[in-house]
Amino acid sequence: MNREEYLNAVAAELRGLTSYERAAVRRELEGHIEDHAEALRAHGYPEDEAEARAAERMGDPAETGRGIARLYHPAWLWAERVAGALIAVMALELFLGFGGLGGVAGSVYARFCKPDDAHVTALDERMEIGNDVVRLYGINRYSDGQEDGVELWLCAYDRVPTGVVAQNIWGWSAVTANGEERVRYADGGGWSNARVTYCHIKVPLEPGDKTVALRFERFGEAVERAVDLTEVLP
Amino acid sequence: MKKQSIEHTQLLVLSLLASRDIYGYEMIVELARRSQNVFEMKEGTLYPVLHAMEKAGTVAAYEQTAPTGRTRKYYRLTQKGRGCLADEKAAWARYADAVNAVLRTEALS
Repeated sequence: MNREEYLNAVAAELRGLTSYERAAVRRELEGHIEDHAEALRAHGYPEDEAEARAAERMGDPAETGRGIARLYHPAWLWAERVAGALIAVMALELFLGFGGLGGVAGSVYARFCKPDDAHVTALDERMEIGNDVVRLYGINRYSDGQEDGVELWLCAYDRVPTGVVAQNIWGWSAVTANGEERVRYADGGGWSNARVTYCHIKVPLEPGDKTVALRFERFGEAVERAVDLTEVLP
Repeated sequence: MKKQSIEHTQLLVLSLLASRDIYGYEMIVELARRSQNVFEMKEGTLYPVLHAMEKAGTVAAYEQTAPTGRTRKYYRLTQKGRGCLADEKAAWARYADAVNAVLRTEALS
């Protein structure tokens, strides 16, 4: 019986121990055999013989294994198993972002969606804000008797379909028309879940306004994208 | 002389640890040396005893890495272990005295 065979035979009796405890027992016994083999080599034993003799001197591995296994409480093994299962579940939850896989389809859809009203002109302007993408997918003029302006149709999603979008992403944004801030809003007020959020806003325009720009500011970093109204609107 | 197996392993271990912290293999070597090779044991069977003592709290263990890079598990006598050693020693002395007393009376009769 060599060192590995001895250690494996002991380990076979240690099924009631946690992996940590088993590893500790193995380390200790292996260290013992190694120390003994080293002493034998120092006395002139050839390598193989020193190993074999040191392992043989350990005696019956099953006896030692059973003797040790008796001392350990199986509750810890169960605690380890339960903890392992919990960690697996939590990892899965993290991966799915707590929302299940349902939102993934929504996140993918947001990348290609078009406005469903005929009076809204389709656009596809994308801005990267950290790990998220804000997409301007539609624009239209409106007039409600008191003011004229444009409506912007926006959505935001994580770059990765399984990722989670920042829920306060609209809170970092401002809208300017010709460089003048017209709208600042704290939340989108649109439909959203963990992976995608929609928002539509009205920007009042003055006569002569030719551009409207979206501006996102976060941690001192600003991203801005201007849309030329004369080009996108009839 | 026929070699004896250790019966009072716990007492011997406690006694070895009274002077300094040592690891399993060192105990085997020390036991053989101090008993002039009368005490020999299947070395692996020392570990259930050590682990039981650790659970009972008479010894505590810690791992320490030698300059050679090898990590060893050292055992140290706890306060409880010192008390246990004193008791066990006294019990052993009484037992040995009793055995000797019987042997002496046999010689006299």
